[in-house]
Amino acid sequence: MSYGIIAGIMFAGMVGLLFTGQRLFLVIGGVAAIATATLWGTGGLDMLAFGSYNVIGWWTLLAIPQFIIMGQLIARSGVGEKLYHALHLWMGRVNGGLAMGTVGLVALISAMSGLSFAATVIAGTVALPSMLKRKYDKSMVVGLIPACGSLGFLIPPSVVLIIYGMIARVSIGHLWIAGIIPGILLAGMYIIYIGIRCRIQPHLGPALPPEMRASWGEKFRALGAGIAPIVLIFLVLGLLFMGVSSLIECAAIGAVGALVITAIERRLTFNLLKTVMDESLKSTVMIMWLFMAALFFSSVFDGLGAARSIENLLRLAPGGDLGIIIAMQLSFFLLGMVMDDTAMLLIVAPLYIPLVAKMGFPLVWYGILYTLNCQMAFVTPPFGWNLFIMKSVVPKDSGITLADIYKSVIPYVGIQAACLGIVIAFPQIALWLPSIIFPSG
Amino acid sequence: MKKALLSYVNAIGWFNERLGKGAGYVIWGLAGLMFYEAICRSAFNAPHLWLPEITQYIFWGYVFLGGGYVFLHEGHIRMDALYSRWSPRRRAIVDVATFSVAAFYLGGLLWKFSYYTAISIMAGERQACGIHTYVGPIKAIMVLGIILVLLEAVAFFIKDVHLAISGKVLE
Repeated sequence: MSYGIIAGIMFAGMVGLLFTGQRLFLVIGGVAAIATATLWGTGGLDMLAFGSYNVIGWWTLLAIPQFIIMGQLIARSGVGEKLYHALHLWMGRVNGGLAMGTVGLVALISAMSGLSFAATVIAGTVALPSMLKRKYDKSMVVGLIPACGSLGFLIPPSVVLIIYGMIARVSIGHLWIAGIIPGILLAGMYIIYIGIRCRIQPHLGPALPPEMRASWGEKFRALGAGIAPIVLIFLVLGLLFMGVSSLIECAAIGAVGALVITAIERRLTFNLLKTVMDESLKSTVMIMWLFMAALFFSSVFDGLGAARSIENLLRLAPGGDLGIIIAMQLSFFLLGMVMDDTAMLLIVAPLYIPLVAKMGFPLVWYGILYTLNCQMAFVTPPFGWNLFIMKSVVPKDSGITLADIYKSVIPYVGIQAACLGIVIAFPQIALWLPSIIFPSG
Repeated sequence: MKKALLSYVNAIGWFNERLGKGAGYVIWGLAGLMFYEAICRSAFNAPHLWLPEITQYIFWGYVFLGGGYVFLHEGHIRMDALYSRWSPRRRAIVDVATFSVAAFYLGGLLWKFSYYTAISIMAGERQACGIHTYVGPIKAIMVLGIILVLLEAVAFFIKDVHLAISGKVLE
């Protein structure tokens, strides 16, 4: 039996077992361990220990729990309400202005948090009720929030890009900077879409009536809400990009900064701290155990020469090297319908990255493509994480169903696909900014 | 028999609950140390040689000792496209059926980790850089974490078997 067939059986076994709903890290690790023991005997299982010790040696991983705790704190700190209030005052007079303001709010929150859920939760609990009260049409806004909530993947600090950077062995600073322009582009596309639709159909997002508009004094006072977030963003990202502090130090500054902001907002209680610690432990432990299992799986897969089989399979795609990249994106999109983003990254990325490198494409660019794809995966029905998060935060009495959210998110998925297409066609959108900031490469 | 199994399940759950709650606090120690280092290194140009090793040990203690707690609280993601639609009994039956795969992985981890931990301790392995700390203790903590996850997995297996056979939750 050829190694290609064995690799195929292994992959099929894994996918089959995934559908049983067993815990992901146990399925991946178990299939790989059984394959190792059958193929190479018990000595092959040494990889279990060495693979894990290898992961343990990556110091950069320490940044992950600290960014997680930063996001958890920001989501509960109350800065979201204040920022939204300011955006509300400034944007209220435009048709669809509150929805555009929501995009801005999400982009700002994303720059203060490494995970995407914080922005979705804040926008869903703060912006959504206010928009519904102002007679914004639900078919436009309930899909917008989960869709732009996933901007957090792209806008630094981003935990997804840290994990990608560790697997692909590329600089995380490069990746983060590369994500900025595509992130702004995507946010801009959402805003333009809202603007055009509300111009054609003003009933979707009516402007505030003149008597409810704020005076200039109020508007400027509301801007004070932006001070703390901007200081935090500067301390975390500014110091990193200027080369003053390292990635892990930035994560620590972010975690401590978020703690200080929560205290200033008078939300800091012992119960809040306990919830935050609990959630952070769960996310970190889950990611790390999955990380160890997935890297073990991919090293077994590598040992079988599966990379070549995958390459042969992908070579069937028309259009040469670029065709392969597009075929990879399609496979991400399909997998993303049933898989979680971290799992997808950990299982599939190690298989694709060597091939991408061999074809001579920049791995930083490929990481951005993956991340854009992740955003789509996060909101494509039927299994989009952000859609479920959204459903869990919509007000109970609003009568919004999951079907409403599914229907509403479709145009935004189209926008994300268009943005992905643009970045594939013009790699400079991702690569230009890093080349300016790190001229030596 | 049933009583003995139940007390096993409860005892493991009790221990992992306490340990996990405790491990949760460690994150502040980690963030605090790194924050302190950020100030020392960038403001006073006085980094600490011991810090990378120690923070790394703290982190991996956090990840491994929290393992059983997260398992207990079902924190590990499952691909629940079908799973979430099944009845609790059907879930239990499928989990029992796939337990062997899970046990193979955890068992393999335990075996190889304890083997290389023993070697590391006997040989007095030390870090190659930094302050050359002994690696044995942190490797032993990892083994402990794996044991706790395995024990918790067995506890879940017992609960699932009971539910699958009798249709009732073990209590």
